[in-house]
Amino acid sequence: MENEMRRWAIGIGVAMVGGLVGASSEDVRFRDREGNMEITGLSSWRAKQLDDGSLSFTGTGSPFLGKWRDQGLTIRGQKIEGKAARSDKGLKLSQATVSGGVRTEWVSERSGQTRTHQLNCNSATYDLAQQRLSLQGGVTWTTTSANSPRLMRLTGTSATVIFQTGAGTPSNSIESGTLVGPIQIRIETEREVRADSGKTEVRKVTLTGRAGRATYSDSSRTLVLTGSIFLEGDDTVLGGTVDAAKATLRFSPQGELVEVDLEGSPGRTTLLPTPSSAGGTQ
Amino acid sequence: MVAACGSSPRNSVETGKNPARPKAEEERLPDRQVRTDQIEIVQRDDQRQIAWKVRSKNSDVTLRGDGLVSGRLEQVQGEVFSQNKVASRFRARVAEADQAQQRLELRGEVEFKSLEPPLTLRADQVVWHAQTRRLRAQGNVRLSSDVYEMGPFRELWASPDLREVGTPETWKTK
Repeated sequence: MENEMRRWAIGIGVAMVGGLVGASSEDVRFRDREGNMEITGLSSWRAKQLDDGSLSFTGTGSPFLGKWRDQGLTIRGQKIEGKAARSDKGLKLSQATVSGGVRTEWVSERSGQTRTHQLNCNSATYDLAQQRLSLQGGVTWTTTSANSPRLMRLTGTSATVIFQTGAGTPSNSIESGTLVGPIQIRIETEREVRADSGKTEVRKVTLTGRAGRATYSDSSRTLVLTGSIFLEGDDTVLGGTVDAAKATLRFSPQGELVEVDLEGSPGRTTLLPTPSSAGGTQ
Repeated sequence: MVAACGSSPRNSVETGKNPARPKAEEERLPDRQVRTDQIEIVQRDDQRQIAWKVRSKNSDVTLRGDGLVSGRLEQVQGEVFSQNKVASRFRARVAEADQAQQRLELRGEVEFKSLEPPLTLRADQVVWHAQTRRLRAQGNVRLSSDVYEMGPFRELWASPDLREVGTPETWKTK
């Protein structure tokens, strides 16, 4: 009797496993032979080879994960409609519309510093010809630096990123990245400051605030905030709180916040690091 | 319509959905089971355009009295046509062909190669679907070119020239 029941139990177990396997979604992969483009986690896929050698495609996943090595671009989402064009390095993403829990990530290099930009949103479009990435709905833009706890996080309702073009342009440098708000800002960085004892110590610096609009540029290393700005800093660059109509935050080549220019109410305010320290204030 | 069978070096069977009928219906011949060493079956669509050709060196077929053929063919090669031009070539271990149903089912190490662009589709099984003029590939389906590869799919539908492919639901929702 016990053996009979055990056989039944095993039978039911096998049936359940069989059912689960049968119901599982496909895990399909698309990749080019150069290893430049790869999309994994696809549960559905449609592709058409076009006359010019490019490929149009539509894919869904929960989520899918797409990587374009040469463009330093990673995209996650529920659905992607795109076009990939042939290049000497494999297939490049030339156009894409992505929706559903979109997470876009790319790596930029400037002045020997590697930074990772991660943008989360509800939907996004990418156009290689225009070097433009547009994001809609609950945008969170987080920038982190390699081997450093530095972080810049901006949240807003939509964003447009324009990448730099031209010979000698660092890979994926941002010509301008504009976030439309209301915007929440959080900047975390570390700075070496000379303590009263004369010793140099590393302090964590945090700057938080709100604004109506924010524009970031890799080339000028600035973050310009406009529209009913409120900022609060806890240490060296900006201590205390301030309201302003415009604020320009400048960063060092290493990504360190070094200067904040404030305009409008309560008047122009400039805070600079002390020359004697690696990052104090004046 | 039906060429000689049996020991002839090559037999060709060519019909469409409305093949030429016997002179009088009452003259319809009885169905015959034939084992043949070489055979070629040509399927035409409703517009009398060639849909596919399949060749085999070893087959068991039924020659129906109405001139249509069905049967099992082994070690097959053939072509799928689009607008009377070869869209892709195929080979497989086994084919089940049925002219009355306009059906061609290929099984076992099925391989399709398109000519332009050069693409290769491999699957455990491929069925030519006459109404939609699509290939329905099933089982470990992979598509590759000199630039990219994709798969494995449980099921993938494809146009005869393999230019356009998609999982079944993407065709249904189009």
